[in-house]
Amino acid sequence: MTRFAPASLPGLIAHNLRIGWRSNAKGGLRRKIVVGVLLAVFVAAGIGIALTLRNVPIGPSPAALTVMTLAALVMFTFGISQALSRAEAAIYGSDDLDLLFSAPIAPRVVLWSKLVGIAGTVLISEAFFVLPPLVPVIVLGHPALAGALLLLVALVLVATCCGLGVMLVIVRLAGPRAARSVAQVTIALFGGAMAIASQAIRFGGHAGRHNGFALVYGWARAHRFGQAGLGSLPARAGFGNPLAGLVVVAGALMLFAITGWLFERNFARAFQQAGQRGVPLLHRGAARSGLRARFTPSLVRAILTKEIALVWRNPQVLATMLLRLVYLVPMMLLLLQQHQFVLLPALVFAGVFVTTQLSGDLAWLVISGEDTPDLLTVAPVARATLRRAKLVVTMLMAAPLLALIALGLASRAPIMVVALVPLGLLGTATAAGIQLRLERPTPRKAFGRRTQGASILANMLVMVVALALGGAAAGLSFWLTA
Amino acid sequence: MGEVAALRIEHLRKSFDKPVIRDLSLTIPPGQLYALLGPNGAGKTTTLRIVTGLLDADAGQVSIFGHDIAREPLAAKAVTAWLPDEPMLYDKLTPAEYLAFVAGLWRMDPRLAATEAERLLRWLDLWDQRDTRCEGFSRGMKQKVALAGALIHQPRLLILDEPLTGLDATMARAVKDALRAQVDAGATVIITTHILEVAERMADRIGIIADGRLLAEGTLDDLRALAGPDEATLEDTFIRLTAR
Repeated sequence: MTRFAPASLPGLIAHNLRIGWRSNAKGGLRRKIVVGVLLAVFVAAGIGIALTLRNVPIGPSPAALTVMTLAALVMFTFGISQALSRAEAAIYGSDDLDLLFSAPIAPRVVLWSKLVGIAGTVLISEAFFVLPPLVPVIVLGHPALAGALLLLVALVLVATCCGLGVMLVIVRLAGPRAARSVAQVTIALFGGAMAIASQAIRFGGHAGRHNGFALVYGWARAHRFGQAGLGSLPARAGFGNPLAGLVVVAGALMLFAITGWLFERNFARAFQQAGQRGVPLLHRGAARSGLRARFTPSLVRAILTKEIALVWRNPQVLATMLLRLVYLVPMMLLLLQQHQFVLLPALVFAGVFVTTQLSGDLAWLVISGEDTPDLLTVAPVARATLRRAKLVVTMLMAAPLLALIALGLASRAPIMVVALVPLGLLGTATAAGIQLRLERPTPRKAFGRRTQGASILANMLVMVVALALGGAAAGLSFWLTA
Repeated sequence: MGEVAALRIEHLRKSFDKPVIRDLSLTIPPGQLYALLGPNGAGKTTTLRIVTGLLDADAGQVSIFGHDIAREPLAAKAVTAWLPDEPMLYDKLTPAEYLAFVAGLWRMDPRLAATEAERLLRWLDLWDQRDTRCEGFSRGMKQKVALAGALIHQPRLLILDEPLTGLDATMARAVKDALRAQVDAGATVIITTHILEVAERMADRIGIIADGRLLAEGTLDDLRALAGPDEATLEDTFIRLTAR
């Protein structure tokens, strides 16, 4: 219960923050332990950094301004990713919008409560990573860096505006049905923004032996990024410049207010559109190809077609798959461009590891994540045949990723493909085999919770297999080229 | 040689925490619409789930058109369709995709399956929605898609658990017409229902079970005769029999 009237703006904000906090803090004892350990590590690292920097002068030098601007950019893109995710959940996954919009409350109040709720939950997420290292540094000798806290709040406000804006544009352009999938792809892209940026710089002709983040820093310094003019305001605010801090915070608050005013009608419209998902598919390729083309006597093809459609139409699943790729592909490109041949086994390891992990996800979907297990049970298909078909489907779905990595690797070190492909396929088959062994039909919507309950063992086994086979593949490829 | 029964159940037993089916025997000839009635917890759904292979019996035998479901499950399933009260649908698939998947499971010839899918989608008034995902459908629409899925492989035995639950009058009428048409085409239909008027109007034969046993079985007139000499309705008969 809150001390505010439930229908008032403060009451609704408190309600949304509570929901946001609980959705962040959901999970069992295991998750709480993991979060607690992570927090303790961050705080210990923060204290260590603070003690190291205690007598080191930190000020707005050109290099420091660039670093602060880049750090702000990382937090900003992460914030957009988070805000977009929250906005998507607010429009599509929120159980209370029906209630709120049907209650005698002005839509403006509902929007504002959601907007502040989104900003609050994004702030909680970012604070988790930023405060443990930052606060000790501030307390132990660098009070001016308290400006970074204000900067963080301002970044979160602007990121929330951008996240909501991007979500509403996606709903408008992609339509209510595709919006969730497009949003999840966008979230993944924002989440991996720095990795992608490093590749953009690399392909822009700034190749070298540095890692991605060093490349970004080098590029930023060369272009005097965040060192002068308006572009330096966030960094100067972060270093405690009062005027810059005032401008940044006031600007963020103004943008927040304008966003609320501008999006008032659009938010309600997007929510109404989200309820109209039962409209015909915009993508009518299948319809044009005729009904007959969809029918097949092949059990494997029938299951494969169904699974691809279900994965493609499940934003959460799609996002998980894409996240794995977003972080793998830049690494793959980076490693392939290295002049040091010796680093390529790392790519072989990553390829087998990610393919096996991805296969674990796919295997859960294909084998355990079954919404209508009764339909498969009453069908005239032997259980063994069905299980074999599901194994094949899992491998077929994971195969394109393995093929992509193999193609990339073949361009630099064809011999290493000999290590990658067989062990990657073995990883895929093993991940599917583990899932078959530990199969427990579960509704597909439980995908996000598959790391809990009975699936813990399967996930752990897949992780062990992925590490072992990845290591074996890397070792084999190293041996083959030695 | 006598006619092979569409469904023959002999001395069926099943217990969970307590006995749910107790020595149930039942024979349903082909080409009939058979209504299985009983109070809540009588064992109707459990019986049908055993028949469709979703549950294993503790004892007894079940055969569908002569195929023992324990020894020849695939042959029995190939001629059977099951439509539970909660439609077995994928919300993210369209009706056309769902039918393609079901046809794939039953290994239908693609050309025949496509023709049958088009006929069913048009007949059940789903043609315009064939490329619309099921997630936005009403309960009645979902029930019709599930019915199309049950009919696409042209089953000889169609088993439906409470097929009219939650349907409006128009949808209910459409489903009843569809079932009657199946029987007229030679299929056997078994339904469970709590709406006794449906059984009274539609069923060729009616079985009443309670506490896992078959209390009575026959045509409507047979059951009325069993209940007593006065002009009893099926509702009166049902209440008298199940109250004993």
